[in-house]
Amino acid sequence: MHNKRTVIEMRNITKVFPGVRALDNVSFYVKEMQIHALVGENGAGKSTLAKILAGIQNQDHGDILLDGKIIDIHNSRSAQKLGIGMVFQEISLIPTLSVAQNLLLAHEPDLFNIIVNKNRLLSEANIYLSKVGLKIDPNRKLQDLGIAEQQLVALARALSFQPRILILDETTSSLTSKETNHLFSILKTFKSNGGSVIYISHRLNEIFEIADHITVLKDGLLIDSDSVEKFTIDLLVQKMVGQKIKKSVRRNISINNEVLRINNLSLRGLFNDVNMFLKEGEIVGIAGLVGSGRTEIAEAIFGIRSFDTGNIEVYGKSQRKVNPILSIKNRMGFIPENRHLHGLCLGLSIQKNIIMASLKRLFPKGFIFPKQEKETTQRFIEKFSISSQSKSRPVRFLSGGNQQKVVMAKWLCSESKIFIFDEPTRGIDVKSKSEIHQLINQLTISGAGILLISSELPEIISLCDRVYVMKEGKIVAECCGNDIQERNILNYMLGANNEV
Amino acid sequence: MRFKKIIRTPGILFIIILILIIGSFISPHFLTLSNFSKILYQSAILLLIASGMTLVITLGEIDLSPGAVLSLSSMITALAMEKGSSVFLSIIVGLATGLICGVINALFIVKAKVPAFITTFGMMSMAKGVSLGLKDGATVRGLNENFTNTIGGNIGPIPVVVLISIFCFIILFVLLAHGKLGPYLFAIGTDKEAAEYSGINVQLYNALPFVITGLLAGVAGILFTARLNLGHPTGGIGYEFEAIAAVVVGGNPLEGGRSNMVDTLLGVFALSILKNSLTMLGYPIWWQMAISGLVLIFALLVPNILKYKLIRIRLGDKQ
Repeated sequence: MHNKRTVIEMRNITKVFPGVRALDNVSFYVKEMQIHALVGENGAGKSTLAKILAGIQNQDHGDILLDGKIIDIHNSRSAQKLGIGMVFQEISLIPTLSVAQNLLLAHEPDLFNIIVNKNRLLSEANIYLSKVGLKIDPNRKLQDLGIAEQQLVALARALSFQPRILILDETTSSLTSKETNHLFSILKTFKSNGGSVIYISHRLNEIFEIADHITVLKDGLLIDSDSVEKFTIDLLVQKMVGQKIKKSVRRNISINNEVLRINNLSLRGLFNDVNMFLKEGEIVGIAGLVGSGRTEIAEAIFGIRSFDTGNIEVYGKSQRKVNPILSIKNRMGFIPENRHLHGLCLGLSIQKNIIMASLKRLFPKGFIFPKQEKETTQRFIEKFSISSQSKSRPVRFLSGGNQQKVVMAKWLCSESKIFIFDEPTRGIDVKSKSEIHQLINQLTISGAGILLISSELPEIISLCDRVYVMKEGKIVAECCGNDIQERNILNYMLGANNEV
Repeated sequence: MRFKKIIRTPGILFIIILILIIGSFISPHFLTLSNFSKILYQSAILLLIASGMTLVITLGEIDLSPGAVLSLSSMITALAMEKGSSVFLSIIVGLATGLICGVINALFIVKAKVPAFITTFGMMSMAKGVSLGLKDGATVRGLNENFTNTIGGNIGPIPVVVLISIFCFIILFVLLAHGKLGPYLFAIGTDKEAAEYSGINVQLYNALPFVITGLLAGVAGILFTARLNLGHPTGGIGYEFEAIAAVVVGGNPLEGGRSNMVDTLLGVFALSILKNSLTMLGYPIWWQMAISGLVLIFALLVPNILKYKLIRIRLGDKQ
């Protein structure tokens, strides 16, 4: 076991995104016939590391060595040629093309480099489909397949490059346990044939089942890297999370009247029979994996998405249909997951963004008065300590943390009393993160009710009074008080057959 | 379900059948061979431009320049002949005009990242200006007779113009349906990032449709010149929009991601017989425009409504 060769090595890799250090001097190597797990919380830098290896992003500093030689991976084609195959977290296939076309896209068998050799395309596609044990007609359109099948097609595609190193980024997050077992047997075969696997997953129990070696990342730093025998689940969680998370001690706010109640809300295929309530001064978390229906629920409550059955009560007033205009009138504010696309008008100034949801209230005559605009927004800019050279600069030029504060200021300006936060601190640096947490806490003091969706369990645990756990579109648990613990919530999130 | 089957049949076929039925009631000359060869002759140039436009639209982009480039190619081919160049050389010059315009479009769009709408709009304006400036707005007459007789003539019963147009169409049909070009354009039109991750040379395949459309506009300019026996500085104006209309009426989505050359062919055919039947009815050109516009909007409206229903049905099936 000791004489295995190192296949790929990353030396002192650093990658900086605006406002975040995604990878900070990370050194990391993978040996042949090794399944190497990369673990860490969201934003720890796992996906960035994988993307650098797959040629989708380039490192700012550091070298990558293949068989001891420095290589340059400048795009995905060069990665493919070097024998690095990747299965992405979000499926990056083309739904309008057939399975076979997707499988061999950009390296299809051809005649004179122009015409596709359809017979060989089909026969080659069948070879790789059978490698992943998928018995489907390769002529079928990809969009007609289920998510699990699409994932397997993506895996078959990665295998079609005859890779030496296979990178899987959260491939099992949409697979059932049976499908996952099937995937593992494919990976084990790949490994016994001399291949190496870099395996990224949130499901820790899976990692202990399949991995030989574990590397832990946290906030872009490498925390630990050792063989799997050296770890236990508790130890791993501790390393991922850092110090044990403490419940915050902000409490002695009286939690009073109910402000929001959701009764039997269902939308076919996305969420089913969801019941929740929210009281004044309360922070209620919604935990769950990506795709568990958390975001969809939030969108339905705010009225961006319609729902089939059920109703929403705001301040005791029952509603069958809602839309954003009505929600804003009901003093509701929505801080969406994608702040660039849904939270802000990037080309407009801080001031304009802040008054965006309150135009009617502030300027009933239909004209915007610059003086009033300035006076109104100044309050929020100071209160939130939004730092920028100029208040009239487009928000595009602000850091992620400041942008998020502008989104929050917008809803405060519209005098919201119910706030729905969807991943409020995604991609935000550590300092702004704690500022935003404080601001969320402050909101409750003034009597606001807050729904908080987050993939980061520490965030949920430290902030929330109650937590709903969602899985596959259903609420599977409600945790209060001392039940709000990482292991507890993880257990519910992953379900009984995924005991952590 | 039978309902689903009906929707999947291209809606354009219904429109064509409808026009044919109405047309046959209107005039006894409508459903005749001679009328159809006339329709074919008239739609040859539109088919060329629309074929190139199909590739551009598959990317989710648009090209506003081919009409003006057609005029420019027509003027330059005719001028070359007027100055005494051989027929062969004049044709090469005409083709080169189209090709160069296409390459310039492509470079601005792909390398300088200027939006296609702006780039090709600018190209349209430039080509229009130059075509008019070449002869102070006048046409070029007195072409080489060999040129008008061969390209403007017939092989057997079929006009050469039609043959060339169909030849180009078939090449593009093969490239789109059986070549790498098809899946690559579909991929780029659906998701540029995913296409790049897949290892497709996105810049090259983003550029190709504009280059091909430019070249085809050059070809069209030559055919146009031969047919009219003159170089015309504004003769191509409007072809770009007619081509876009044909592509979309045929059932190709304007947002890109998928397309089918046969649909474009049907779209060209539908617009041409519509025009033909309106002419037979004696409608003046302005009423033809108005009615064509109405048909275009309806042709887009109906599939959208049906598509919405289809999605509801599909969702229902899954549950």
